[in-house]
Amino acid sequence: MLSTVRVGRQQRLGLSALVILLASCLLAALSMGAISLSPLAVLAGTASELQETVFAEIRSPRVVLAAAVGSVLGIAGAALQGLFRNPLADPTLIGVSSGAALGAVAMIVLGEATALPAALTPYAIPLAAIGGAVAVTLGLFAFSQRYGQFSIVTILLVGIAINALCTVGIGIFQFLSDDRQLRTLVFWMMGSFGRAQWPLVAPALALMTLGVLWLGKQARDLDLLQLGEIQAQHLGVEVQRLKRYVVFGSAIAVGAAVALSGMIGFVGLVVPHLVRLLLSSTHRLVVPGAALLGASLMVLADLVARTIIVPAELPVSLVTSAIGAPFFLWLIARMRPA
Amino acid sequence: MSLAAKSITVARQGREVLSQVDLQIEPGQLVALIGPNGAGKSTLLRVMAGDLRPEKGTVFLDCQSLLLYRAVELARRRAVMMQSTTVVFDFSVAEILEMGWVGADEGQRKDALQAVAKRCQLSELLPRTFNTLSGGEQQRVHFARAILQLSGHRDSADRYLLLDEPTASLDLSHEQQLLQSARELCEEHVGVLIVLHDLNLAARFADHIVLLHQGAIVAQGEPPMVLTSQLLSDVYGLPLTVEHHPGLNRLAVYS
Repeated sequence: MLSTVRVGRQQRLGLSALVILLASCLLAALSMGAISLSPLAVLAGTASELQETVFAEIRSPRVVLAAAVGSVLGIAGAALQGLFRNPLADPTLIGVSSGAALGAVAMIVLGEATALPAALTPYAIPLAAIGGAVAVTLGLFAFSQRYGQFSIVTILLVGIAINALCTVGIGIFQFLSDDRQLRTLVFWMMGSFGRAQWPLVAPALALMTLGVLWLGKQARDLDLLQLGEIQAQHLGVEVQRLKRYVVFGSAIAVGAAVALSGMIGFVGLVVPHLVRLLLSSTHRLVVPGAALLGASLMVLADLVARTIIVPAELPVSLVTSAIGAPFFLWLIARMRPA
Repeated sequence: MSLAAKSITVARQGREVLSQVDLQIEPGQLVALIGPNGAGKSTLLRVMAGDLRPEKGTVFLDCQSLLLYRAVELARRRAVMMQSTTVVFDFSVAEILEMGWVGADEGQRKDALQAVAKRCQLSELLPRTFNTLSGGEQQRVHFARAILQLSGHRDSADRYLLLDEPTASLDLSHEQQLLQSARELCEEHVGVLIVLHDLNLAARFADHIVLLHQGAIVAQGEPPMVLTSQLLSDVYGLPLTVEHHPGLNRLAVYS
């Protein structure tokens, strides 16, 4: 993707800086924690057995998952903001995240009643979350295809309604759950990378990569869309197809992300803004930039979440929202009046 | 070979906005579309661009219905400049201009962009943020973008440029410059359709004028055939005088 990017020197520097930032965040996150270790020592084989196990089985999958989820939320946010031509768009806006949450919550509460084969048990909640995300996306399509065009306003309004419905569904399941389920459910909703294990992370990574590459391919068309739907069409963009691609691509990637990490707010909203400030508004830069910065910030947020009150852990969404929300207010304040 | 609308009828809320309109643009020809507000000029332009599907009638590009072309194919054949465009995010002028490049040859892109910027006197504005430009400057950037779009496929089939009131926010000198550029494109065998309000500009630059009134074509032909005191006074509902200006050697319209 980067090889075809047409960028100036300043932007190339900016992108390189983001790559360095991500590398440092990864290194820090892999080294620090309840047990500190040096990734270099592990690779060189000079670390203790405990350190090796912690590195390979606990910390690496967790850090990799955080990075992947961060980049997915960043890219999906950038792509949806581009699609809606609205700087406030976000995967939560079209109901995809809450659909995924509803799926997961339903599985937490009802899962024990359904006799799932033992081999599937660890995948039950993630699969239910992806199912929820896909169901919402399909519903979105069915509705907007049937009632007129796949217009941006329709998607937004339907998204609001879907969000409300999912909230109701989640509320009902909360009401039905027993104390133990309620606890699982609440912690799941707050978001955490603590569940990361390779057998779960690997397939989710594949799905997320697919979604990210797919969205990355739409970068130029998303740029043209900024001139308006009709003008984009004049310039050769199949606008209806682009909308389907972006909505489905982000649904799959975000569904897989939410499935493993729960609801994590503000990353999809704030990261694309930051990248636009740092680099440019061109999606050819915003998309890779949002992937890099999203990954860095998420890895950092998770590092804070698991080290600030050792040995306990803070839900990572509390960290992202605590940083993201004030930052977002600052962004709104500095926007010049249109 | 031409861009031709055949018996176009467009209705909105039961009222016919265009009825049975025929319009043809040949490559190398500059056609001006004139008429009072609400005559259906912009609607006709949108039909010619393929944005609006008429209730009746067909637009043909090289004898094939516009609806049968893919968006990419059309983008290489015709560029459109609309009345207003809002861009939400902050793009530089160069980035906006570059969006017009639909050419396949990436090697030519940079040179083509510089050439168009120079031709439209936008070189100095290139690094500026598009949203900080004045309305007129933004309009000039969109015009340049349309030219760039057509310059990507110079040697392929005939190309067309459709402009909806391109001079609305331009000062006198840029107004002239824009129409001069449009004329130069005609020399390069591009067919140009312009919606204009300024009848004097139409008189001066158009090869062919189409006068629309209440959704129908009242008259069309060379400027002296359409721009007559009688016809214009009737259509615009106020006394207008058309004279041949001897010093300028062209028609002049007075109110």
